[in-house]
Amino acid sequence: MSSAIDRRLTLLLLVLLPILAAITDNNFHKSILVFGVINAISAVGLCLMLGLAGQISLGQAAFFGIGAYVTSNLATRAGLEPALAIVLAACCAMALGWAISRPLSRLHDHYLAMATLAFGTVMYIGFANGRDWTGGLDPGMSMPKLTMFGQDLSSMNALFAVSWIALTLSVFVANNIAGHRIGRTLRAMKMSAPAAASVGIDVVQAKAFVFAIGALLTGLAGGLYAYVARSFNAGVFGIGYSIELLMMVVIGSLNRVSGAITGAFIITVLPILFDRFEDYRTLVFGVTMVLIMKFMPTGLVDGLFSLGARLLSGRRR
Amino acid sequence: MLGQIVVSGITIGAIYALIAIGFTIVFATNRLVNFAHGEFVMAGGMLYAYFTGVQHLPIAPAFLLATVSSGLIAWLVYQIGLSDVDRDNHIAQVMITLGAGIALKGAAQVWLGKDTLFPPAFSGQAPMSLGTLTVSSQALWIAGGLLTFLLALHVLLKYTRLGASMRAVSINHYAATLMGISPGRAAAMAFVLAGVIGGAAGGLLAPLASTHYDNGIFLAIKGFAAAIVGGIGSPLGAVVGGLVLGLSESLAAGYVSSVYKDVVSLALLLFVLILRPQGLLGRALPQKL
Repeated sequence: MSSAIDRRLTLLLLVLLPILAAITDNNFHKSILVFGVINAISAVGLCLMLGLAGQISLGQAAFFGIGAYVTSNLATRAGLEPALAIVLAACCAMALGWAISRPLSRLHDHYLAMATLAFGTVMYIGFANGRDWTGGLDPGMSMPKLTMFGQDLSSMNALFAVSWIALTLSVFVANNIAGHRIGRTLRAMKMSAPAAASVGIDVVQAKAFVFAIGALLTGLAGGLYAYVARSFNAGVFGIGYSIELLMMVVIGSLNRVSGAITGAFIITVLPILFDRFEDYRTLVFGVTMVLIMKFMPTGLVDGLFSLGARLLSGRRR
Repeated sequence: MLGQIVVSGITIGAIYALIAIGFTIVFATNRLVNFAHGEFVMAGGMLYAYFTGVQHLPIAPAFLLATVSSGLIAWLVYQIGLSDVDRDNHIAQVMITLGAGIALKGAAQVWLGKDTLFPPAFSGQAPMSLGTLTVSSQALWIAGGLLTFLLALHVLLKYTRLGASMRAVSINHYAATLMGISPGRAAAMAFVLAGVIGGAAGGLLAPLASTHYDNGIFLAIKGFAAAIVGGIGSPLGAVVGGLVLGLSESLAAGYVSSVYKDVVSLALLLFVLILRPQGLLGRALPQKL
């Protein structure tokens, strides 16, 4: 992560996205782009947790949900400025991420996956049944239009611009973390937590840090989602979304921010391409997941890279 | 009231125990948590409903076929997905079993339908009364099923060559290989056993709680919680964990609210993971550095 190639690829993707948004005049396609950008923000968060620090989480949907629900409650009930509501909601998610990481810090790998899955399920049950705050499954939530400083930002172009800025900021944060001292700390922890502890790294604190950052970014994405979707119910924040997020990161690349963004777009667009298969969608999704993990264990992007490198070197010989 | 709650707690607890046994056996021999395990349970229930409802088979062969197919599915998951994956690549194992689970769910959705199915109970719907308690006959089948499988498992693990090889692999995978035991075979066998027992749990549960292609992951979380609460790696721990979980759930449903009974059992899982990760009956393993 944060290699020179990765940075260049990420930059390329970030430049490419607005161009794509500018040349599509179809509102539906534009909305897919916006949701892709939002998913990418969540995926960058999980990429830091899993790719950089080796902390798997199957409970990301909970942070996404907290982001969306805190935003909508702050905006509709307290009448807060939308931008402020989103930032506060992301901070709530961050606090939750930090708090949940402390008791889970002894766990790793399978145990951590299952514990976070249980956490996500508990939160989902809360979202579905805490109807006073979330509208539960049936009426759900509906949101006013996104405005900032009195400007109406509810057109797809404006929503794209806002989400794109948020993604750029997230990438900036992620790259800085990866390239900084804390990034090296997290990488050391990923390789071996006891070894990292033996050279004076506070492993518990490092885990809490990366959980908090992952939750912050996912919460930010959730807050944006609330304003883009404008009407949603608790079903969005179930286990399915957590698994999809994990797919995005793994499909793209475990070691690259650019991979997380690519993966986010693949997983956002794939179900729409599979739409004509309707009932077969879940089956195809699962089989794809197994195949990618079996044949490209470091992710699709890395897999294609090494395939390309192999082909090129083969030709040279 | 309390007696009735205890009866339903034990019934659901026995199902959780059966699911937990599958987690435990696979964990012991493969050192992995099988995220597709819930789908074996789902497959057992759905196939039982399919064989009785669509194929109009009598109950006994339908149940048997569902159980065997579920074991076969588990074997396929192991052979296709996991047999050549590095034992230490935990992320890949999590992703592959998750993916296999999603694929199984998708397959059930396509080929077995999206409806909630209510297959027939094994011996009629009429509940029996024991003193002041009313017990559904299916609950007795479930309890009997749990006891039968425990006994069979005990015999298999204790008195057969295959069982001995599985125990050897679970104690020390490397040493077992040096002694001429094929760890791959033990691991595959563990998957088959987990599939059979999980499928049976699904078939036993379906008449009582209906069956649907989408509830596998939920059953998996409950079964895993039971395995962890009891201490993963020991079949007896799985039983204890299942019963503790079932009882606390039905007490919560009876005295607090049925909506939050799942929260109670999952909170129990989190507490045990935090306070005693080796489980109630498990021993803490020394960590290899």
